[in-house]
Amino acid sequence: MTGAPALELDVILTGIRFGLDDISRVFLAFTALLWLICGAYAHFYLKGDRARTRFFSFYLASMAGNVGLILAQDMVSFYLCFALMTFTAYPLVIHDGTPEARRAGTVYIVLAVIGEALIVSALILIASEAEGTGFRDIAGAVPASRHRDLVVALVLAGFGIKAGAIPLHVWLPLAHPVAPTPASAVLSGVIIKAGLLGWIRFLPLGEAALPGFGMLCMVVGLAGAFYGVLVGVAQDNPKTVLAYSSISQMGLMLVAIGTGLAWPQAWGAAAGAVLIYSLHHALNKGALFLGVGVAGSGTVFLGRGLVTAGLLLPALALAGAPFTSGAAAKTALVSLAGDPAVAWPAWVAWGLSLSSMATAVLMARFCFLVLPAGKDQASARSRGCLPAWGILVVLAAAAGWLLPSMLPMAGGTVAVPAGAVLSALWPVIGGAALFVAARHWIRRSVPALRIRIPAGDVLALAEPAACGLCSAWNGLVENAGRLRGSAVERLRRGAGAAARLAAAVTAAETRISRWITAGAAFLFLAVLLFRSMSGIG
Amino acid sequence: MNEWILPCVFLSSFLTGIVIFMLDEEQRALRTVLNLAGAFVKLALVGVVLWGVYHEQTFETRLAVLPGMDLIFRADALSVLFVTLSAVLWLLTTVYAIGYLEGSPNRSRFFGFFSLCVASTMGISLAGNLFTFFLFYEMLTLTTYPLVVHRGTERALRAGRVYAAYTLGGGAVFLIGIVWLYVLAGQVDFTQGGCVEHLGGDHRTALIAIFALLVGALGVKAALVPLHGWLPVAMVAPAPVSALLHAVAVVKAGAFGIVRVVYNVYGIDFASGLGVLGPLSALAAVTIVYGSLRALAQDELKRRLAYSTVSQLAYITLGVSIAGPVSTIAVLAHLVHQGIMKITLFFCAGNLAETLGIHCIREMDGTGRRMPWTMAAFTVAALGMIGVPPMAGFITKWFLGIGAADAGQPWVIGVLAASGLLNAAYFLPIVYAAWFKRPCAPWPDDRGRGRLETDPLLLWPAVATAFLTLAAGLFAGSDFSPLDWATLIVTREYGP
Repeated sequence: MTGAPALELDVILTGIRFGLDDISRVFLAFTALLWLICGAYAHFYLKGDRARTRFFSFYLASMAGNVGLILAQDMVSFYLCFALMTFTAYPLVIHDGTPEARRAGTVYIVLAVIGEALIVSALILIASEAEGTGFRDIAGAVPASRHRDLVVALVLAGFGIKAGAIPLHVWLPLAHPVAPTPASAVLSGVIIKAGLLGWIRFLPLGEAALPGFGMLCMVVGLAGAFYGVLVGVAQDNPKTVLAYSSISQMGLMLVAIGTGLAWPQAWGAAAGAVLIYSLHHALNKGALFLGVGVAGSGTVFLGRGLVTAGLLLPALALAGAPFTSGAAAKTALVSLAGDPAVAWPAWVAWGLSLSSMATAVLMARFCFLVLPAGKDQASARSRGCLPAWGILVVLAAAAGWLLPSMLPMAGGTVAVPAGAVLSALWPVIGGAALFVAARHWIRRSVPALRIRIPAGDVLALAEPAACGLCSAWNGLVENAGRLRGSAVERLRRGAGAAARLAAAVTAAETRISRWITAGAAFLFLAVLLFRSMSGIG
Repeated sequence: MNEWILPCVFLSSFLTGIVIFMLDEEQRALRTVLNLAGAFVKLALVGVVLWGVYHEQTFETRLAVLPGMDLIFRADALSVLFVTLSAVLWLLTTVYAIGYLEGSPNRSRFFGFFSLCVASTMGISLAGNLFTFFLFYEMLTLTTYPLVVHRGTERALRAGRVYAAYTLGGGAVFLIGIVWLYVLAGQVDFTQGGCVEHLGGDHRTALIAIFALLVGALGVKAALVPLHGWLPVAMVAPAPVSALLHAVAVVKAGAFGIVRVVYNVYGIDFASGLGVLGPLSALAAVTIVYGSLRALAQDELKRRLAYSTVSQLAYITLGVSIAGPVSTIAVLAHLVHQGIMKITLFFCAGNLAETLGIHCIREMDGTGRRMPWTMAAFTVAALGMIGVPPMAGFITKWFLGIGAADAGQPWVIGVLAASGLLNAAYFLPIVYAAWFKRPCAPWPDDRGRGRLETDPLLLWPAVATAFLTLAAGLFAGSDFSPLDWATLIVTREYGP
């Protein structure tokens, strides 16, 4: 880690520190880039929207939080910025004001507040045993903590909500798609990475070997990678498909985090993989989301065919096709297996390989949804959005070539040798072919298999239960209040003393309410006070 | 001079109150001038005391009322904290009350008792022994009663009866506790580290019983469950009264009393040796969660705020019952933080009622558009209550949690997290309705006061305290912030 805090303000909160280190440099690069491009895109996307001032106010506030938490070098300013980002993203989610948006917003804020509570509990536990609140002070504190396991569990769950780790992901497929497209892009591209950064900052990565938690992360991560795909293909809204894809991709990053937790010596390499992967995912997922808004349109300079190609490119990158950033990211991740410190169980390597194919299936589903749908929607609005989106697509494509040289610490060979091109290509082709074949087969032979899962999947089961609990509680409170009231009433009736007291109080009341009596009483008291004072003076 | 300044702090509002009683109902300008003059004089005096205490001067005034019963005014750093809070909030509430009671009857009576109520609070905070404390504690009860029943409606009178029954009952128990303690220990001045430890060998059981009596009695005003029943009823009082009652005067007097009894009468180490702090912290934890749960079910805004006070105030008791310097810092800072946050919320509730006739949460849809400043202040305070940084409430929770973990009681962090969630559950829907919903019906009683969204006398105090809420949190690390002063108290008086 390099770079001392560049800004230290002791008067703010408990003393805040901002600065850049190796990790925050990469995060800052893709975060700032995506917010900038999405902002330009939103300028055109929200043309004529009545509430655009509100949108941009909260957009900027949320961006400030996101950038701030990356720059933060201490716990309190990290949490401050995290909270700022979380709460100001809420108006972005409910911007459209539709019933779906409001429901999604409610689920979002409920889980976000729960996440905040878990996170602040973890931070307080860490702070109670660290020398200070700076990240350097806390590095050694977590492994040595009396509450180490509790802290790790709280951090994993608290930031897991933001990062969409299953089963805490339920808000994500609801909230990401309902927001206006540029907001969806930042939500799914970079805000989701704040959870990842939280893990990196507060888990004892590279400090302590926690094989149990590491294994848990790998299981949950891989499960998320496949669960996201399985539920995602059963969606009709292209943006919901993308949201599920984010759950799936974040699962893969969680595998790298788990590797770092289980084998501390491997954290350096795993961190490199995480950084490459998050940069790759942020740019491409952003490009895909923004692409939903421009699908089917075209201008003189950017023909419709080019737009289609521009949509396919990030989809291919996400699936890990050769010569894309996806290939570099996947290679960095898979090559962790070659690290001498790492002893992955066989299923992890297998799962990672298969996940490429699964991603290809999901991307195929996305392309089938978005490409025909946009054809007659070409409007002036989406044409205005094209340049911003085009720049992002070009940058995402360029990342495929730049990544290997930019991040030498990623370990393993990232440059794809000619022979590996084919081996990187087959999951993509295989996945796409599998999707097309399955689609064809289901349409022809077994229509019963055309399952649609509501966005938010398990939430559909949990929500009625939660609502039932709420109303049961309200009923309980009301009844308890009534019961208590009647008990008090009976007590009062029973006790003659209480009645007498009440009578006395009423009598006193009439007297006191004549203010002159009370005023005189206090005057008397004042005189008394003065007399005793002069007595000693 | 040091001998006279503390009585003057007390008299600056006491005499104001007496003179206002003499005034005619129509002498509005004179009354206002008197009120403000009293408030500013007090503020100046408090500033002098604050500066002096910061530079380690001593302020003490001792009057022999009865043989062996001294009336003592003494300013230590802890009393200065409370005195400053009261003086600042008194000024703001007075301004607010002048705007609020515009044209309503019995204003002389109101402002007279209002000043006396603040005078009692001054006495409570400057009290140097239990006897003095008790004297002003009872004076507070008597002076707040006419304020609670001010409106004179059936509901107000009923609330007054409940209030009087609870607080006078508490006062009687308090007196028994004090007399018992005087019998055992003689005159007990508040001393750092406690002053009854030497009795621990012979009178252990008696001291435990006295502790239960004292804290039980103070717990009435501090609204510890199950003694909180009067508080939600008393919110029928006019908004400035509720604001002052919930922020500094009554409930804070109870909490401050508990702080004094634990720190300056028993001493934190001796008290924890007696084993009385465990039950107290359990009671406080139950109060925090219970108050929040009850708040959830209320539709009337002021009732919801009242239950929220029950919950928030128990943070102080909880922190007191955790032995340790960090939790003490949290407690003392929260004395101030809770005051400025809750007074903001009540000011806002009063503004809504006075300007638009809104009393219930379901009528609050879209109020953010109609009264943006008021609802912005409300939002800041509500976020503070939830514990969102950078508001003042976050600082409290942060240090209280760290203090609890230091003292080996990490379960407290769970209580804090649960309470934060519940606070969010009953405040965020209000914030949401105010800003993101559209009004579903015309306002119940729109009086459209003036050019601004409401009368400036109602608006500015709320904005000012909201600003304080933000500043106390954001600049917690700067000199003379509540956190800084609390740290000063702890290093000076309770630290090694």
